[in-house]
Amino acid sequence: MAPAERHRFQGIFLDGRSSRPTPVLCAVGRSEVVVYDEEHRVLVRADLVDCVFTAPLANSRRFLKFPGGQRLQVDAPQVAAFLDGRIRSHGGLRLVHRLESKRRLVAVSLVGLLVFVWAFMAYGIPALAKHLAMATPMALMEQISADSLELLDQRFFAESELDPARQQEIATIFADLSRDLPVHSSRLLFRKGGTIGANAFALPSGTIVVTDELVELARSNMELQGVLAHELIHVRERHGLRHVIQQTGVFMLISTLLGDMTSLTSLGSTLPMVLIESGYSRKFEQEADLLAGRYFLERGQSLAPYAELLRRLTKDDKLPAAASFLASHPNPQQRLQALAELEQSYGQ
Amino acid sequence: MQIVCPQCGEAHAVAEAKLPGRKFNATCRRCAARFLVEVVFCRRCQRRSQEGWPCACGGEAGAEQELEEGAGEVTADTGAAAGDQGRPAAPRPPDEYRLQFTGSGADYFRIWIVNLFLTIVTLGIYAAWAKVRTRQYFYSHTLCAEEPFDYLADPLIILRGNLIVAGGFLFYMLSNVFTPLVSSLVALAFAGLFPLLVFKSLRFYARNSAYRNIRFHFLGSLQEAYISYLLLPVLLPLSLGLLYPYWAFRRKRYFFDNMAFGSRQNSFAGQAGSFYLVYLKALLIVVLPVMLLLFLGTMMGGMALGRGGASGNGFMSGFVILLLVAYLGFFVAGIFAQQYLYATITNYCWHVSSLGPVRFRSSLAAGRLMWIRLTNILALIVSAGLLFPWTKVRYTRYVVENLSVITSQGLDDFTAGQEDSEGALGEAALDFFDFEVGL
Repeated sequence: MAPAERHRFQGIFLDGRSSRPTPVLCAVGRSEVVVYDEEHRVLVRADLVDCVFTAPLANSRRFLKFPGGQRLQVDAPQVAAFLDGRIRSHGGLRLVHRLESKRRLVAVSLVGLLVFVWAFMAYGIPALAKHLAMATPMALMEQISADSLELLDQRFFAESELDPARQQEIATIFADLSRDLPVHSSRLLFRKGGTIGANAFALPSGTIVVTDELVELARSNMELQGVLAHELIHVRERHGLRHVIQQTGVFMLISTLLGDMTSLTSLGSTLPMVLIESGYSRKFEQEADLLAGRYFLERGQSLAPYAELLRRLTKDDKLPAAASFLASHPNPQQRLQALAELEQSYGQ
Repeated sequence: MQIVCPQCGEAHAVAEAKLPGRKFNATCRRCAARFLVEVVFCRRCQRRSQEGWPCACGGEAGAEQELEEGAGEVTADTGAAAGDQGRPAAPRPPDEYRLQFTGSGADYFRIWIVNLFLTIVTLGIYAAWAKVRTRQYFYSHTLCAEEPFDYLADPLIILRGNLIVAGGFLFYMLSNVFTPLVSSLVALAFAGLFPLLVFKSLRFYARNSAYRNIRFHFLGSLQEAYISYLLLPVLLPLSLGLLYPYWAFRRKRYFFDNMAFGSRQNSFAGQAGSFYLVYLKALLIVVLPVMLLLFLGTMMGGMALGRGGASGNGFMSGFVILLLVAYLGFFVAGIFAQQYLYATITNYCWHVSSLGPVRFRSSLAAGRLMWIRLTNILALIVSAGLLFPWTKVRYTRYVVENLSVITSQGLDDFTAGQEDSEGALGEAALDFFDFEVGL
């Protein structure tokens, strides 16, 4: 049977000027639609191409909207199907509706959602952050680092009380290292850590800050060399910048996902973020340990002094949870073990 | 249901709830003819329809199903359908239209999952469509006198707003880490623009909400937005918080006093004094139980101390009990006070509102609201968020179905207001930064 060419149906009509519903008779042809009132006077006559038929959405009522702002409720499924065939509005949303209507497709969407979220977290955001960080111009990084250093100086640091000769000694080690691990520019600064304690920081511009406390904690220059190499790798791989970009990406992802749930406690949205972020920074620390470790092993040096310093830093439990060398770092036990394994695999 | 006079053909819309039975005599409003109406069920759409007339859906009407048992012949006038010719002479008692919510958690779950999936796949672009679809679903299942509300926003405008906000937010996040000075300037600029965003989003939100094909409007002034959302919050600390109820009052008044349905503006007769009273009660709800618990806790602690002698052990455990109980009490009392505030203030604001001849009644109960909130949070935790659609539908149903529209003149006499246009930027910014400007 060929589909009907004309449909006539009763409906409720609202003219958009008053809130009074009018019972009407409607005739829909192949290209034209006419609405009559009870006395068969024409209320609206319009080309179907100028009309909008609201997109299907679960079991919501659908309306035929006329160019003049009038609206007619369409209940009969065969009329709706006919109008869908004649009016090409909301093509995409009809596909969405199909996705929503089929139980299996909803299940596929749920699985797809989980896969995509995981892929974004694991690969998408880190890759994007790497590209963005590598493309960041030097001038911007210099500016950023200068501001950060100023802030750290104001809030935490005091001038270094190290003996200038000792400073000079470490600077020489640093200069040797930066020849082997080339970065765009590098500078070594000494500060008294105060509440931050024994620590080292790498700023994106290549400025590395070592606290007096860390220097005092180290028993040999070899130990310090390990930390300096670790920080230089951070600079070379632009870990700091990448971390910030990833943090922003995760925040945006989570707020997109939880957009509808925002009336919940903020804990719900901050907790996953904290977990994912610490996962990211752990990755960077592992990478820095690994690359620094490889550098030493290639030069025939042992990783023992570096591991020894790490062990001592861990014992020094007075470290505050600042953005620093140890905070947000992986479990020190795991780090030491990873270093040991690296050394072992190299020996074979 | 629609009842058509066989004499003159005049159609009368009658609320189904007001039908006196399955068969009754009605009087035509137009030609005063009296005629017998028999109510039948449409075979296709299952709605009530008049015997002898085709149903609005185009289906055949058939008396397949029983409507009501024992509903014989009723010779009573039927509310809207009946009445004497011309204007009603005697004032009728007002009709109360209780809002209905017909959405379901299962339906919304499908919409929600597909929305999230498409939003992620399109890197957030679809979020604008997702938002419109969600709103449309909730609007179209909110019925007043059997007619749904309608959300009309154009997703493209929302997308534009989303993009601008996301850009601003990215800038803020990145500058926050690297150049704190710039980021505090951004935050300051945002605070300065916030009232403008509220103003814009209220206008956008209202204008894209419609009922019976008539749009709502928001007619508040920008100046008032700056008083309510910038000046008062700044003055708040200076007043040691004493201005807080007044601030809440100004925000509610800003919303309720400036909303318009079509050409008719709502008027809000609320008093700041009432807000102070409500906030005082809420304060007592939090403070009194905590005081009581502290007192009991001290007693228990003292007893434990007495029993444990000078060992210090008993004292410590007593102290810990005291702290725990006080904290728990404070938490529960805090949630209750919050729900009490929401319920009481919402009820009050509707009570003192009038839209021309139309009044409102909101009957939210703080206890019930708190129960729904708590169990919803529990359901979300247990289901790792998957029950979110059910919790949202459940909460919405409770709030919607406790609102009634009261009028003795029907809802047919509203007319459209003037049209204006507004971007969705304000609304998007509010969504993104998690501010609620709810009713």
